Amino acid sequence: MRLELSSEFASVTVEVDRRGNGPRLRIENQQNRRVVYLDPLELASLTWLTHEHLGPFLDPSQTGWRNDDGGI
Amino acid sequence: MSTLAPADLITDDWRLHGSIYTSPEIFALERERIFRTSWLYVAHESEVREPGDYKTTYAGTQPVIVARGADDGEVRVLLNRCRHRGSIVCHDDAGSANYFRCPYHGWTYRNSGELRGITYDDAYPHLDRATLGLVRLPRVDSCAGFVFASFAPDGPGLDEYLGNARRYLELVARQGPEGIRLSAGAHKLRYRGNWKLQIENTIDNYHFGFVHRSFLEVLADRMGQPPPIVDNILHNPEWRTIDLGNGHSVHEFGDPETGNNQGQLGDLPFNLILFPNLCFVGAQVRHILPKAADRTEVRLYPMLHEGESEEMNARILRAHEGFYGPSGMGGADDIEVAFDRVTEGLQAIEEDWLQMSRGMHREQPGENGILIGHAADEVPQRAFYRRWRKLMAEAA
Repeated sequence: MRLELSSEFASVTVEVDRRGNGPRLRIENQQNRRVVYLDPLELASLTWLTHEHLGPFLDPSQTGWRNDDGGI
Repeated sequence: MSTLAPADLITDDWRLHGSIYTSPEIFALERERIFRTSWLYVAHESEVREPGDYKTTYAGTQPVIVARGADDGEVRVLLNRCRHRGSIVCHDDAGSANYFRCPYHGWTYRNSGELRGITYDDAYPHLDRATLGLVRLPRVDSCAGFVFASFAPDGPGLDEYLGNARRYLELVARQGPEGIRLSAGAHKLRYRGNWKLQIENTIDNYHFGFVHRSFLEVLADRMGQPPPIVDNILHNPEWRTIDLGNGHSVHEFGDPETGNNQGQLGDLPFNLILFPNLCFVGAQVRHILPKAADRTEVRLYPMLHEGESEEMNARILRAHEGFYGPSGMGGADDIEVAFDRVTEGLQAIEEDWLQMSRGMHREQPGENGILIGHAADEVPQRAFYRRWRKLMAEAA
């Protein structure tokens, strides 16, 4: 099942990827087609996060975003 | 424009100068002296229920974001203006986002306001980011689920500001078995006229039998006899207008807990005005947004009853739409006559005074400093303009 989540700031698709030996969550940024796969342990660890912890990833000059054409 | 000082635009015998409605200079002064000093309605808590929820609206004349903190759940009111080059940061009416991103150059902010990041920031070696968050309004408070904010860091608290009006706001919040919610959203109307025309019209019973004649005729046709609303307005002693103080006013259709307007306009047993720009009418929250001396936007939010059946809430919506909706039988008449024709008439400035004295000789004092008048008297309008004149006359 492929789910799409959009806001006025971003659009992503989310689905379970089963090509490997175990399931992973596949997240695709619909604006630049960048993809990340997260395994169950990584996802479980995310539940420890506050939204503030994610802050560095939301800084466009501190993450891979700076290398994307168009800056998105 | 008039050369009169603001305090002289309203006379002791209740004549109002037309420039109150037409002058850009008066409007500029209102922005400063009314909207930067008063408590301003911005949201109902049902609109930002979950952490990360936000809505866009206006605190008086200024665009704001009302956001519930992603991690702490606190409701904040932020100016909707990127600190870089001024674009609004949030465009949608409502959404859920723990971070915002400006559409212009991609600057990101936490939904509590702090600047989070700047795209290609090597061009800003010395920028003090800590000072460049979205600007927060210094005071935010709520009463019965209605959220207000103020640009004034000091001054009376919300309870004191609402005063005698607080009781009515609490009654509004208790309409449904478990309260109310604004989940139906809003419909918006814009007109080329002054914002105060909508305030005055909201609680003006005098016009009903004239502007809404066609609506009354439809009702009479359906019921087989004239509806009682006009007779009640003119003759029912339990229908009364009240100056609640601080610019607030109410029109009661009998007992404020059980009364009924008998006009198929929605179930609220009173019309309420909270100074300066929030009204409750029928089944709706009416938020009046001044844009310029001659431009106004009005947002009408039907109040649905929490804990009621879908059928009941559907009936509330249909009744609301029937009179106030874009194709309803009442709202369009108000826009045509009370806003458009009045604005046109006010261009005739050779004799530029209006009369707002109806029933002033029969205002009766009540408890807690209130003034009580007949249903079709201009008590609510005078309540509004007493406060307006006081604020406008104060030194900046």
